[in-house]
Amino acid sequence: MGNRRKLARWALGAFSVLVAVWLVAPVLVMIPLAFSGSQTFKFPPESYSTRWFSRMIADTSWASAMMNTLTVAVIVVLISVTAGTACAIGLDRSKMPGKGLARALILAPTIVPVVITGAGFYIVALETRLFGTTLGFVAAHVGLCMPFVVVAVSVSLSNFDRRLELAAASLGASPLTTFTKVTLPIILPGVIGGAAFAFITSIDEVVVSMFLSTPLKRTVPVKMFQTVQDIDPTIAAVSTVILSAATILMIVAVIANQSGRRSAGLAN
Amino acid sequence: MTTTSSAVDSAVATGVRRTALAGRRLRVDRAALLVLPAIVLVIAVFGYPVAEILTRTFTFHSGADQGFWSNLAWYLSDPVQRTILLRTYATSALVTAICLVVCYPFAYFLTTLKGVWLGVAIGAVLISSGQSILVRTFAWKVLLRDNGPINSAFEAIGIGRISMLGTTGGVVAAMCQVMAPFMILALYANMRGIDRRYLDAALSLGASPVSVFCRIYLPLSLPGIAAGTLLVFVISLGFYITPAVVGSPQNALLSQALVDEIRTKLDWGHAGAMAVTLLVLTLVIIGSVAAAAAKKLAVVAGRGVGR
Amino acid sequence: MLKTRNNASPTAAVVGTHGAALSIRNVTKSYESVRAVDGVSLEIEAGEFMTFLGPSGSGKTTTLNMIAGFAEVTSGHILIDSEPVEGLPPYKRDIGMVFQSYALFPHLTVADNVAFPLRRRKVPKREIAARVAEALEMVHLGEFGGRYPNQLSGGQQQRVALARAIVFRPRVLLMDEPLGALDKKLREWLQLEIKRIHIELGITFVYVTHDQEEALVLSDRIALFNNGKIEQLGTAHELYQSPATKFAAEFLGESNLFTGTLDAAHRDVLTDDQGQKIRFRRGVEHATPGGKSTVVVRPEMVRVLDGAEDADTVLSGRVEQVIYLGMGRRLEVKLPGGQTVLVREQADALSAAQQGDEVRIGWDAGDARLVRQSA
Repeated sequence: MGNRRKLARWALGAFSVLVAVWLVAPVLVMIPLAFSGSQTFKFPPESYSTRWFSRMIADTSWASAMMNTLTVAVIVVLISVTAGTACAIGLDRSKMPGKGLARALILAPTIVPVVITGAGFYIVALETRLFGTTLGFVAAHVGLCMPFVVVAVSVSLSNFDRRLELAAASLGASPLTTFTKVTLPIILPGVIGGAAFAFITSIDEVVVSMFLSTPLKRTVPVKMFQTVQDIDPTIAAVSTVILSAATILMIVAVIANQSGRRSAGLAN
Repeated sequence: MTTTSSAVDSAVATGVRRTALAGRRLRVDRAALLVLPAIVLVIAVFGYPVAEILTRTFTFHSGADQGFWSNLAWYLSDPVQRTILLRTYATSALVTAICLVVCYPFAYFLTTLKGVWLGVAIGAVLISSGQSILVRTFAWKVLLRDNGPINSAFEAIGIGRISMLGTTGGVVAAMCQVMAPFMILALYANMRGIDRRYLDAALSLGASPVSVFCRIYLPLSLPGIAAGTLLVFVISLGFYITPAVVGSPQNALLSQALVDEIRTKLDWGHAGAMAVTLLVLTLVIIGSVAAAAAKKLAVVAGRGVGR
Repeated sequence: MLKTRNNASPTAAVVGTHGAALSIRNVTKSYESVRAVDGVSLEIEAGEFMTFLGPSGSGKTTTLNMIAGFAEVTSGHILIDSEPVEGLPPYKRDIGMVFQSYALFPHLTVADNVAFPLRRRKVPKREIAARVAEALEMVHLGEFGGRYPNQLSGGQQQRVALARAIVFRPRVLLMDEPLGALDKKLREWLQLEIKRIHIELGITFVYVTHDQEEALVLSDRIALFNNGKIEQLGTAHELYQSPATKFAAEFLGESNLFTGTLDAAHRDVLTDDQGQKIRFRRGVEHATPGGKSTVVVRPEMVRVLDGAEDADTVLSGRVEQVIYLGMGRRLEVKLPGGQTVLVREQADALSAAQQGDEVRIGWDAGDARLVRQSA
């Protein structure tokens, strides 16, 4: 019986390793390809060069797409963080009867299939001429990105000991001071984590952005998507850049989450 | 006027919290105001567009039939659309099933890890899932190419090249890997809480490992299975990116057809009908699973939501 | 309004009046249909150590919260140094507060925690450092300024909370069961520390607890709360020796209670339900001859009589249990009528009584008191 168990455990381990490779493989394929020396997608590459990265930087359409993507993402994060944090605090503190409904509404964009939202945006854009405008992209992304901030900050708030606010008041801090000096520093990791996810979501968004894009103004994901006839591995280079940025942000979010759990350590 | 201790205690607790900082009734309303900007934003940038497309189902008519229900009638009767819908269902079901079968042992394996290895494994899952779905889809587009790595490997083994891009099979393969992280996290979150001592107890009572799994572990992991399959199935139904990149117009799924109606055919009515169908399907599935879960939870917690 | 001044608060007299006088006038707090605090009136002297004692739900914490400003007064007035404070938000009342959960800010160091109230008051930087150091020294934590709260033990955290609450020299310090979360030995040590700091600072302390031993150790005066009202107000000695009501008698320490009818003729004799004659100290006003009442005798006042020894009140019974307490003994004596009388003997005055013995017990009339039924 012991041998059979050991065999089973080994089989499970081997299978899991395969699954892990399967999970990470596509990503690991992209990166070497980005440095491929030849113009084909032969894998593994026969030679290496960085010319696809230089080509990407030199190509103005990629550069402008990247500018658009970053601009939109920053604005979206700013809006999501302010409105989302306020919303999370409001939902945490308020006793109003429609709370559950409000929360469901805020999270609805993540449940409704994005194609539907995109189609709707297309129609609205026709009426309001939002095609190819920063405002249009920002509007499209905010609904999808804000839920991340609301959820992350809500989790932070649920770990927050409200008696700290009573203590601050007893020590002479006005409600505003209490918020800035006590509440906000402690929930900040949640805010940062939510902001990181909101940012990643924005630079990743394809479907609704696709409906809003014009050849003159589009985001990186849309341009990638539209590079249907991929003639060279430039697209792999772009992917690598996005991968790296997203990975860094994810690490930021995780570190923020960990430190948040430490600093929210309840006094009792 | 009652002055019983427990009534006082609970009333006091609520009361102090409510009047704490500003000492005024306004506190509660002020908090509600904070929610307002977010609500307004969501209604403006999400609610309004979605309402627009959904109402077009009933207000926009491209063909001769101008009836209120004409778009929905068209959608439900058109054979092409029905094929697409069935294909979408089948693809989603297949992806969900494969994902479940592959990810379940992996998630279980994760629960047996300790220390450093756990971090590495979780890291692999996170990094993979945190990556842009677009990037991962593109990776699959590269992998599945006729002269791509997988076909090269097939050739080396002697199977010969298989055309995978543009086929439903290719779409399924790509979607499985793209959806896998969701399934793994849902399963793992649930499995992590399963106390292994239940299994030890069952083994000590003479149960074989197989029956321990079937009768004890599997039922306990059911909430995770439900969450994971729900998540993957619902996302797959409405999924656009991977099918659009890896698939082709010949084997389009519902989402691709919807985009086509909007951008190419400019038929808001038809697109609206598709959107309504997709949304209703999504909500019905989520709703029924949630209802079933709530009922189960009530039973487990003991005689409903008494006290 | 209850105000007994048999024993003047010793510490206030010695140190002077850095603290404020608190006046609570007919204060009521209602939550919907529940009256948590019901017409409470109390005068707290400047520099006094006042304890609110009572079971949970008695209204003591609610009253404290109203003084702090965390709960709104439904009716009545609270004055600090003759200024009404009902309208003032807590951060303008210049009071210090120590919570049972310490409530130290986890994202600030110990020093920054203690400096917090000084920064709010725009105290110059150099002075802040000096006063923080002084406050931490006072609680014997001078070296801990750079640490974070989660690196400290419970007792240390509570001391930091105390330092933070006194560093800005508030006129009043409120403490809400601050030692409840700590173990017995630590509690006892901190009680003495708190008392020492009270004497050093001379500010008014208002302390809430349900632990009657703690109240007896710390307080100048105790306000005993029950069902939203003050049952009795007085020094520890007064509350213990002369409990005004049955509740007061039972809440503080152990007591022997005899309920019965007051003798019509002799104003200092009660005939209890078993027909025994109990004599008590005369002079309590509310004794209606012929009416029902209760007499309380503390177990330390009861002694086992040997031989033909006599006392004002003598009862016979049998020793059911003898418990050795180290510093004495505790005997349970069962009377023929079924009632059990508790007797406490000091180690240097033990009787020969053992379990199973038939004994005569008695006490002097002066050690027995008549009480009201609970209000």
